Amino acid sequence: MSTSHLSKALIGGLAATLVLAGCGRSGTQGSGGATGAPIGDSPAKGEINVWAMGTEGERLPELAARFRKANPDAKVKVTAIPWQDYAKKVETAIASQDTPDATLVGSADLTNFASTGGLEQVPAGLVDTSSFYRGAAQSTTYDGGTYGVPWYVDTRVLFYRKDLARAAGVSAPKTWKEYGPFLKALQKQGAKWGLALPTGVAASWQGVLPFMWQAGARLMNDNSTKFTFDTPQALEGLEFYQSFFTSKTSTRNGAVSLGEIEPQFVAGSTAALISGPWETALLKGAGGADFVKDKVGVATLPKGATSNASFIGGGHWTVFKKAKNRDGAWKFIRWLSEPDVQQDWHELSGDLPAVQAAWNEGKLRSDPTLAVFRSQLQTALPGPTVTTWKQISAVLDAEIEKVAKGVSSPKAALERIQAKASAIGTGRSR
Amino acid sequence: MTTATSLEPVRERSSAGRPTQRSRRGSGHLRRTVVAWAFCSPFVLLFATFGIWPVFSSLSMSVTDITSRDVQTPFSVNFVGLENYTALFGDPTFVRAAVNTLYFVAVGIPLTMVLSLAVAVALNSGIQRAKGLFRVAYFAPVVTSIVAVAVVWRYLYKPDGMINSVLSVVGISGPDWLNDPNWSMPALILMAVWRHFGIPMVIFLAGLQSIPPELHEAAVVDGASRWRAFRSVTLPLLRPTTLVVAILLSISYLQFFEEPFVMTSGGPLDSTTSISYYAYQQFGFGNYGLASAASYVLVTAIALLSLLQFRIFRARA
Amino acid sequence: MTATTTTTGPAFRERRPSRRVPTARLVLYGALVLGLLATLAPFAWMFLGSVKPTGEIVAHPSTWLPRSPTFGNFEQLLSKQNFGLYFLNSTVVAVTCVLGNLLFCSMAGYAFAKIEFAGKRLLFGLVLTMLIIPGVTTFVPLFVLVSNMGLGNSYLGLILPFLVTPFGVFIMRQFIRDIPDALVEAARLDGAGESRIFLRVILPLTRPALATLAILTFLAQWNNFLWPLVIAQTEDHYTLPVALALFSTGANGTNYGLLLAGAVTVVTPIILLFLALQRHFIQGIANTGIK
Repeated sequence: MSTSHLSKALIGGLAATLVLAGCGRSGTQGSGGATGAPIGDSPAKGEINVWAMGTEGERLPELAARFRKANPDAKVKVTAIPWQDYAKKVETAIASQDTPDATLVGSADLTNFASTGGLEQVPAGLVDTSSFYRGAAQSTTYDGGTYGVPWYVDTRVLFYRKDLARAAGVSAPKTWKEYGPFLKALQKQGAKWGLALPTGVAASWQGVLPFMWQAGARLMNDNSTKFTFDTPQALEGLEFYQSFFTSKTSTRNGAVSLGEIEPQFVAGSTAALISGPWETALLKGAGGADFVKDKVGVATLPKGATSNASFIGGGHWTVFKKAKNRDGAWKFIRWLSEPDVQQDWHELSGDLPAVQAAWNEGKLRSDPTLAVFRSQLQTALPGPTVTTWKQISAVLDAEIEKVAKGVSSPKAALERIQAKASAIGTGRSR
Repeated sequence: MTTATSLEPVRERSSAGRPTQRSRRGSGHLRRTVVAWAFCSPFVLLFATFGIWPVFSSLSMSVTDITSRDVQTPFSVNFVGLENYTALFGDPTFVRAAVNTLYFVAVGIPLTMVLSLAVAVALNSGIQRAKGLFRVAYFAPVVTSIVAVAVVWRYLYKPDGMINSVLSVVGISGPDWLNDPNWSMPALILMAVWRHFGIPMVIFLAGLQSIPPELHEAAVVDGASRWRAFRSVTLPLLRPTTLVVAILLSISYLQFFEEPFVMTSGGPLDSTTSISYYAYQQFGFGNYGLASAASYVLVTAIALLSLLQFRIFRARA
Repeated sequence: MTATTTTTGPAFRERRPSRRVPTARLVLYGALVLGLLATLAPFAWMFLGSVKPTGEIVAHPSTWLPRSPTFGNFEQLLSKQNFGLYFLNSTVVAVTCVLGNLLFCSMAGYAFAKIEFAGKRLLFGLVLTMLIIPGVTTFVPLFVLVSNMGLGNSYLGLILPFLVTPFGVFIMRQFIRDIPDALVEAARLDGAGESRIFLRVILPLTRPALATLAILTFLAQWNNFLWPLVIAQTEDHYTLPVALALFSTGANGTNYGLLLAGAVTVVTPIILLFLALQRHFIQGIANTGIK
């Protein structure tokens, strides 16, 4: 299809407004272009405006105050915004070209922001990519460029009722084969459901793709140009997911809103759930500190045919193209990824360091629960990094729901996912 | 524009009802035009910028393949004609959304109207005591924010929530409302009726109060039953009021969005996805062309339904 | 439509005592009371829930009455979050929109109702058309427009798109149209200019319509959610519903206690306002129906 004159006439009005408002249409889409000038070693200067979300936004000023000691001429100004719907705000900022210098972004969203052309690539030599967990570094790339620096990571592990397991005389499952019997044993101790699984609410895919990965599936080809949901491995994973419902181990009507599972877990009606490092605090809120100490066990996910891969999430730092203090922002980000700063941040926030070296000392090294996360992080993977992922993941959620509710076979669901994902494409061909 | 003609009768009637000023001289007409436009100017300026312009803009988007990635370079998009519209009707999710919207409208509007009329009649004729209290209480849901009440309703609809515990008192074991694709829509309709029926109730009350009770009484004296009197005297006189209520409700119910947005995210299994919600989702995915097309399907539906209601109620009035 | 109102005269206002038998009336009262309880139950649950500790709100099975009532949720809400500021923002936005609609819509309504001018039919046709355009249609173009005007994250961005509404012009025009032309003509013959007629003759007579418009605009803006959600980027521009939606839901969990306390904070002012002005509220809605 070629651009027609008519469309120009129709859209001309829209363009006119943009021009009238003083905004040129200079947006360079996509990328592959060169990275910006390297960042020197001198201390940062001037005001550095950053956005950070949720708890991170609340705690960051304390950490930023320490940055000032080493960089007396710089001042980090943190604007705290909520996680919910923050993506719209970042997109708005880019569209209106009125951005702060840097922002924290969720690792799953980075590709989308990068595709708008509003982010700067990470300057060469700023950080050593191999110092981060592989899965985290993987989710900072888009179309051959690197657009973010991993700050903290999270991954999901198995939380189970230790007391029920003890009473049943079973220990945490290591493989898929032990998974079902373990959960059934907990159910015999009085739990109505063995395991809480997502059944179609937004982002259910984060809980279901790991089953496919564990069976050995890779969801895109090597150069990320095509989706490959139609493989025997993906099918094996999805069938395994389905088996939890057919064996009545999991409810077909999983939690709809956040915070629904914790009371059930505390009440003992659900014996296990898969969740991230934030879960401990939520369980303490719902059941008290003693409940967590005495009754909650944590284990890595059971291994399938290939691996025990889990989903990796977390936060990355990015710098906007329209940043006023680009050098200062990159210097701040470089400082944030120093191992001892990463440890300080863990102390302040409980977030897990993205830099592997930070785990070699103190509590991060010795705590048994953290050790489970550390081990899980080695194999954790991000979702595919394509700009259309938001739309494709919505297709996944819808098809996952059909499998969970028993209205579609896993095979038919995967066929539809493959067809729709291929039709939507990777967003790069345009 | 077809949408304008649907409301034409109002305009025709209104201008016919009073003496025109055509007898005035031409120069006076020019002066009046200047004065009138001066009076309208603040409104016209804002209305053109934030009302008309976005409509024009989204209409042109609906015939292109514009996405969020094109906002900074709107010249680079392709004209695709009616492709977005054909794509919509080829998408099972959209078809489902259209069916759901019709379901919501077809059940929700009559239910709201019957209920609000019944309460209005009860308040108007049957009782003297505590009338004000009832009126205020029944109207209260109208003024509350949906964001605030959504959390409450999610709790009420839980399998072991308040609604099911009330049902179990009378021996009914209630469904898992929001998780059951067959019951999710009835649940949202119930919530929508709760939220909206205060407005038609008050409009019906005003309509009823303008009917002289003598007419009704006369019919009863003539031997008609109360129900017959209501049907043959009150209802016909309420027809203009009913038209207003029907149009207000169809405009707001066809836009069915807030309930699925805060309660179900369109689920389970797309059972509560509406056209508005579908359009909003496509905006979220950055498919501006498709989203605009979906919203114009909705505009057409609203225009057609309003026109239809005018025909029905006008013809009989 | 005006036909129904013309028959209303003081002579007909008198009601004859109802001749219903007491049992029928008891049944009627019973039904109305049941309906009342059902209508108010969600409010009761909200207010009672807001004084429960979070653990009790999510407990299975849930109960109506709080076992250990606490104002902790409200304390947390007020101390941790800047609810005073959001309250102020909501008020500023709603009140400005009310003033804008009152002034500009009544001016335009007057022109539409009482002056014959070139372009009137076209303009009023556009107003009527816009009445049925759903919000979702204009959402994104409006958003792009406002961002490109540099009004993202500003009071102006929150207010300008709602400063006038076609609905406002429509009801003002309908109401002013019913003011007898003779009054206007008489004033014109006395040599009064149009602005003088508008200020001295029309405005004083349109008080009920202005009250209606004020209330409806305030209500719509106070509860407006989607637009402020995307336009207000930083905390200092949040309105109450936005703050409520955003802060109660974290990245990984929901604080139900905070959410209910927030809901009470959002709903209470509008309920109080409604109770104080209920006659006008209800009369206002009734007006829109009859005109």
